[in-house]
Amino acid sequence: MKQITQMGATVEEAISIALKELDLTREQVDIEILQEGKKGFLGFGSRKANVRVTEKQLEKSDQEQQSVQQAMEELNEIESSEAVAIISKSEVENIQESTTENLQSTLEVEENELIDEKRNDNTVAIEHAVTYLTDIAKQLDINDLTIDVEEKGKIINISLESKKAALLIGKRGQTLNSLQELTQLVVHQYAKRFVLVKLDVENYRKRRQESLEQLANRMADKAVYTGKKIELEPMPSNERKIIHHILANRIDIETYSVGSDTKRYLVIEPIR
Amino acid sequence: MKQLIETIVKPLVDYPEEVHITTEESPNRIVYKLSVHPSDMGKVIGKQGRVAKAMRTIVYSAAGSHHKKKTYVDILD
Repeated sequence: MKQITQMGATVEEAISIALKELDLTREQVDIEILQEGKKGFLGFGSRKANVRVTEKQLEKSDQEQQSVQQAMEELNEIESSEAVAIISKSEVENIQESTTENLQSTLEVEENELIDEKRNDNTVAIEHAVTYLTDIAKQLDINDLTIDVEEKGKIINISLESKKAALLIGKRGQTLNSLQELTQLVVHQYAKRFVLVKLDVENYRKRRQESLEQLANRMADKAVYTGKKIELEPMPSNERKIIHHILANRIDIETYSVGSDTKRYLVIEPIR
Repeated sequence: MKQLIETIVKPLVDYPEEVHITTEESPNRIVYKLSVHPSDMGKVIGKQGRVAKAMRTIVYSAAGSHHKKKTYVDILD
């Protein structure tokens, strides 16, 4: 079985190059689009199209096909991680936060495009994550924990439910974020490729987002009213992003983050 | 509490058998001393102490509801 992955500026171009290489016509092959091409903006975020072209043939044993498939997938994985690395490098000049946030959004975009391809191989990792969480919960005297796992491309959403949810969330979600970090580590030990773990307890994340939006608007009003800049308390990146996002449309204020790592906090400054 | 620390740490390290925890108790505080295999040190501390911090957050919140004493987690080298 002949199989080839081909890069090109557009999907069409990649396919035609691949067909020439294999010396086959379009009817004789299966075409799988691994990555759509993208023009990007000012050279940032541009990406080549990537297609996998396979000759139609069914006699070969499953095992062989699988091993080829696996090798190809590994190859692609390396390529896509390289793409991310290049993107992040080109943005190093921007402030640190925008880099991480952009990176996150590129990951999300990629996740949608590659959604068909990734599956099945995270089950082991998820099992370990679930046992890890139940073990910890037991130690915290939580015995009625129910865990719901949902996989969405590169993101694994784990939602927990218990009567003692407060114990799992902690002050301002501290415990929840810590658990998320640790679970991510456990998953990484078993996952074959990069995955993001998101933990949620009884819709806490959504409630938190709502209260952050309220806080953001209230603080922005206060900043405008007093004419002084307002510094918020340190927050994790996802929470800062929510605030940046909600205040992005306002023309009377400006938002930015200062400080490093876990002590990074957001500043709202009125524009005179 | 000792068990909690073990359940948190053991899945993260390469040598789970070498995770040892000793406690030191005085009238108003408890110190849990965690020792791991030398090559696992980085794993339990993490970049900028992220893992250690996450672990402490969970342990402290559990300890608060468990007993009233001040609790500490030390990582021994």
